[in-house]
Amino acid sequence: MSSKRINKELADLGRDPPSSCSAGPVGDDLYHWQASIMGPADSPYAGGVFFLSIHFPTDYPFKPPKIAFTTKIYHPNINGNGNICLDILKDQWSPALTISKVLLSICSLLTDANPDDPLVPEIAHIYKSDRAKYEATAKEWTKKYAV
Amino acid sequence: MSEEGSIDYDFDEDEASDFSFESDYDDQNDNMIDTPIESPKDKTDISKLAKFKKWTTKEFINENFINAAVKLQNLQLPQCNLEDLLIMLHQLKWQSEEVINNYYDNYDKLMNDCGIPKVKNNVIKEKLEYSCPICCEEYDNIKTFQLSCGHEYCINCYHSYLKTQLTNGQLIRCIDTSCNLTIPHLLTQEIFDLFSQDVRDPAQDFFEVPTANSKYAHNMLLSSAARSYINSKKSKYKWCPAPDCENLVELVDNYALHLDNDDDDFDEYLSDEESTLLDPSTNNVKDKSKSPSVDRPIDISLTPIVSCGTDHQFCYNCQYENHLPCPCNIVRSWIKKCKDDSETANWIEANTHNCPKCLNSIEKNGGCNHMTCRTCNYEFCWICFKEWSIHGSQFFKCNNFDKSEKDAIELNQKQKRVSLQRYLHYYKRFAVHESSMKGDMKALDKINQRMESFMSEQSKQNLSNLSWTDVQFLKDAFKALTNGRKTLKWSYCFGFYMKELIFAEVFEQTQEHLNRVVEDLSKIVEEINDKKNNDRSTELIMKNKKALISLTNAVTKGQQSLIQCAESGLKEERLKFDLSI
Repeated sequence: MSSKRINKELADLGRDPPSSCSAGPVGDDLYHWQASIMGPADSPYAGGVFFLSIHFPTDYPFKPPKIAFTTKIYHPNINGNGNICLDILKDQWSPALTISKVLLSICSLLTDANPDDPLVPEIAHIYKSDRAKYEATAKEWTKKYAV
Repeated sequence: MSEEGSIDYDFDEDEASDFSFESDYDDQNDNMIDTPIESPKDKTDISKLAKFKKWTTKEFINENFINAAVKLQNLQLPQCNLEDLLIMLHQLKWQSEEVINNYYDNYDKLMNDCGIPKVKNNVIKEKLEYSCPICCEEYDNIKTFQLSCGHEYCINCYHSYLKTQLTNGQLIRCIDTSCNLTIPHLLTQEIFDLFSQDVRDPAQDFFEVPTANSKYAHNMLLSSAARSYINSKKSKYKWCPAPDCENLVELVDNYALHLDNDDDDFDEYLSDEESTLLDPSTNNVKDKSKSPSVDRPIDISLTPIVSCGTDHQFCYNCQYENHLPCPCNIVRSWIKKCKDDSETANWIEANTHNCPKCLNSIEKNGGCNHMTCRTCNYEFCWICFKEWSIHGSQFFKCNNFDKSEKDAIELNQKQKRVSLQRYLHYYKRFAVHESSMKGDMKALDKINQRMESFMSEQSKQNLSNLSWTDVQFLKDAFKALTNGRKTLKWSYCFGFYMKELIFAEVFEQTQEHLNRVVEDLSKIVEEINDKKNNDRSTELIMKNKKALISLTNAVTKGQQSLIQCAESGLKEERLKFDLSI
């Protein structure tokens, strides 16, 4: 049942691709996608291209997709394994959401981090106490891993 | 060449970690007359410690959710309908006062938070040629559902959505992410019922006068809400741990009971003054910091053994079956011991050696001492654990034998073996009684069925004037046997941790006595149930009535004296535990 929905999302992404994101299956497996996000211009990630892996559960869209960064990124809500702390990927997921909407949410998470609910408390601390240092490190990581 | 291999990790682990509970008796016996026989619970007067109340989940929902809404409607907010009040209560965590306060303080906000629209228009309808935006299926003919917001999706998707949302016990909202509207409790059940295979017996509904409570009788959302509500108040409510039992026990008043797993709301039951008066018997975690309770005598009569609505006894503190004569802390360490693979590790230590190169465990099950590790192909000598090549190419002769080193290894292995054997001795007996309990249960179940059909047969033909009270002894036997087994089972856990003091022998003798009478009783039950005696089982039951009754009494007495023996022994410190084992 979920394959129809995933195919539909794939077709919609092809017909009307969101700016700055792209996504599609890896090989023949419809349930395993790769996505890329361009670092938003007004963020320290500008100029970088970040890759993510997307795994659809078999009961998609009633359960959220599993999404993780495969490119290293310095961000208070994304940890070393690329796991993302985002409410809509957990308890706030709704079947009405799509991959395209989720990727856009991740883009805006890159612009506006949520340091009050951090996955990496050290980065959140620096984000709050020394914004310049945070931006410099994020830029440096972007240059190093995402360009 | 020798035979060797990596050792098999299969050691009893599964069994050890998998304790199960058995019901004290089956549902079908509920219609029999209940005259409580004396059980350790009746003897132990925990009513001095605390007051408990039994609930079934259904009663709990009726009283705390539905009746709460009915009361609100009748007394405070007659202008609201019941369904809306249920949503308000659900949203505000079932606190009636909160509903009233919010209703008068900020009505609009409350309605918005609850997702209750001003005008309601919830529709389930048949639709032709519908394409659902969620599952992307094109349907020729399908039911769809929409709340007043008009966000319409196919009923299959709504059903799947409701199922996934049920887990958290919260109100369920419209699928659309920007929409806050709540699906009323009755409607959720209506959707579930559309997919439900089992049709409820119409005859049953016919006799039931439809009341607020019966309308919500099978509401899955309310059940899930009850689960999460009860789980969020862990010290006030405890689920019965018996399998498939949906009853719970509420701690209504706490005079002097203290529990191990306190959560935040526990403090309201216990003032500081009280907590200092507490007995240290159950080795309270909280208490440990204040007083060295370990050194004080243990009083197992203070173990909070409670009984759920269907008579399963369990410990309110551990939320584990009735584990007397063991105190809670002993049970805790026993369960932990059986659960972790520390004993597996002990076995490996005692019976295997590590490959000196890759440290993989190897059990030598025969062959010569020239070992080749299967994992890393390292060749070594099983006697000195040094490289094989230094032993020369002649026939085997190990000259690298260092006696003191070897002795140390062997002594260590021997100690490990003894400790393992000791554990296994107690564990086996513990496990045997657990599995026998299941066997007894099945046998007694069969006997009961047979007795029931025999009785109905007899009364139909007016052959005898046997009444249910005449076969009450069977039910008593049933109870005594399971309770006796349970006590025996835990007495082996007790024995494992018991220090070898003189009084321990008295305990063991009492244990032995109980063991004997339990086995005797079990034997009769088995005999009656033997296939060979199929035709004369009722005859056998009546023939053995006397024996059954006297053995039932013997088991009950034996069980009590074993618990008493443990109780007084611990109180007078003639029995002591060694938790370092």
